[in-house]
Amino acid sequence: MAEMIIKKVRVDGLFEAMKDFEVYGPITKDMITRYQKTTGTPDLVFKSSRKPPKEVFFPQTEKMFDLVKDGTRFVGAKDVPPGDKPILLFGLRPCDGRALNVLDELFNWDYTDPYYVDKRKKSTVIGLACTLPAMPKDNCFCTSMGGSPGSSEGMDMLWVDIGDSYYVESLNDKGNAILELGKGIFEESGDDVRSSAGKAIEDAANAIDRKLDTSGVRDALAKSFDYNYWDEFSKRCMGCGICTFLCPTCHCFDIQDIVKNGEGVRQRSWDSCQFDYYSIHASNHNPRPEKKNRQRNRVYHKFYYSENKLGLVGCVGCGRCINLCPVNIDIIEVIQGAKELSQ
Amino acid sequence: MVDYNAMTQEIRAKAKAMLENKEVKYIIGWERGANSFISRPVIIRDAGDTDRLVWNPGCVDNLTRYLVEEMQYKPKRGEEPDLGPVGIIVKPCDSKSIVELIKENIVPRERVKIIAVTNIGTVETNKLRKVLQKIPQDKRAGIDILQDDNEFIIKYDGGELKVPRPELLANKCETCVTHNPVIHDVVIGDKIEGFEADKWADLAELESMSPEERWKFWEDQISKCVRCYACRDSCSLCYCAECVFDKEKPFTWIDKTVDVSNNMFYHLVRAMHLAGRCVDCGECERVCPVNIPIRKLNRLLLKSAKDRYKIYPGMNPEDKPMFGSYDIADPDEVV
Repeated sequence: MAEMIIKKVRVDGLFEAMKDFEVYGPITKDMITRYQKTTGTPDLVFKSSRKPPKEVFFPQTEKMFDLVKDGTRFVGAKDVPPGDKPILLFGLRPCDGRALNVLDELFNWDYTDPYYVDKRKKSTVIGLACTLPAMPKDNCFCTSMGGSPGSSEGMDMLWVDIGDSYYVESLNDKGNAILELGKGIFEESGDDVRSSAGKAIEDAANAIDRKLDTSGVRDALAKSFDYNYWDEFSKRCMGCGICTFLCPTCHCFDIQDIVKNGEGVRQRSWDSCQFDYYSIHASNHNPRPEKKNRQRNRVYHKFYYSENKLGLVGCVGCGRCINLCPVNIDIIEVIQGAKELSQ
Repeated sequence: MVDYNAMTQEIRAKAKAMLENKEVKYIIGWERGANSFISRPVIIRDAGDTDRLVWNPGCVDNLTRYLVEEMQYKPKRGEEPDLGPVGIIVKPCDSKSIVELIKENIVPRERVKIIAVTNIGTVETNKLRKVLQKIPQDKRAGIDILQDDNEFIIKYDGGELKVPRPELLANKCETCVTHNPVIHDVVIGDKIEGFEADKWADLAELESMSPEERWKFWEDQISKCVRCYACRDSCSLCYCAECVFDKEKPFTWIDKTVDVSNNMFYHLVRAMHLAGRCVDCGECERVCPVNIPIRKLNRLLLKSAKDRYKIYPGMNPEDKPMFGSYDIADPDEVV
């Protein structure tokens, strides 16, 4: 584990040295931050992104393969060659880094998903710790979900803003390769730098005011499946896809064959368990016919099923679903309510 | 100064009386949000719960979408249909939605008891988030927002913050056409007069663009869309039991592909389906997670309906719907 610092004025130089990478970084436009492909230096001061960085490895719409045509009929498939450039994801927030852990487990679970895994393998992830004043945002609760504003899970390198420079910690070989690439740009670090980085992270952690006591959540959910409770709070749900599409760990997709101008492709696009047609069967039977079934599924998937299957809780406490829900369905309140009822 | 506290008390009393007298099955209203100054929708069935109801400038939701849900509810097997009236609390802008729903035979007038408030304006959620940065985080929990003609007053634990009206006022309120409800059984609050403004000022910039520039503008905006369909789901007039964009059998009308072409198809079709019907309640724009100015698209059509056919939806239940009426003097140069 190598520790260095980089002066803020020299960051542009580093991005110049990293131009062999396909760089994705936080870009803010119309007050919204997204991780987008960039050729310059991405934004270094930003709140957590509106659309989660999962879209870098798992785009909202992704081509799987081309359909091969014989005359007027489609008879086969032709793989799309993956891009050969290494990917650099810069500026990942610690909660989103932990979300990558969940997605890594998921896409390598019973079946290895080549599209996600290929991109992930050739990626280097540089995280940016949450420090005041940009972070934390309203409704951040990563510290309750086992994370922290300085967590380096899911990353190859972590940067911490310490005023006029960043404290840089390389976590593995991929991180060391970046240090190598930026030789002369990174400078030696010292104990005082490490302690001021620790202080910045601690200050950010102290500023997080929302808390969720996760002890006993699984027992509570094991008991409360049939409670009327799920109906009560989900009455106000509108059934839109905000909480799932903008969740850093949600990963459901739907596969469609698209034929346009005689050319066909198979592609997948994000889908949401909050849509009523998500679970509809060919017979027209819908096992989750009401909003209560769908909201309950979201909560159980995050806090119950995910742990059964992957051994990881599916919520990292980024707070996006709370901030963006138009009718204030608050996952912290929902979990606490279920816990109280089942006691 | 608007006395929100007195109005809240009055709403609670009316709601309580309605529930106790069994005039309504339940009341759709707003309650205080969790850890939030923004209020949220609540359904009150028990007269004892009416103290949960609130009224303040953070009551941003148009609750009429829950009214539509009630009207479209299909009883389960063995369940007796209950066609009794429901109570709903509406702002003046939301009352226009009810008028339109009555015009379109979705809501029978006798099935709804309308408690309407007069309102000089609500807050814009996005703007409020910015303003709240000025208040220490640990003091934000018990916030109250008050308002007079010129400013919003945010009261928090141990202090208050005065914010000039335009810095916090919802965009839709800047072009409001009615501060008094257009339909009601009970009105709460004093009649509001004044607040005249140029109702179409916000469209001037778009209208001055060339068609190419305007297309570019919308392409930029629409490319951000994540197709969460919150704009549709929040809309009280998007009430089709099966939306054309959800239809999968026997085929889909739209790909799930998120690109400019499919997004544009979605937004243009939705806008056209609302032409002459949209009452400009502003919900679509409020709920959008990626800040697309959806209202502008609908307002361009609203203005067009007004200029061309002298139709402004949502003002009078006796009016005929735009697509259901014809006048020999209607402009017909495109036919």
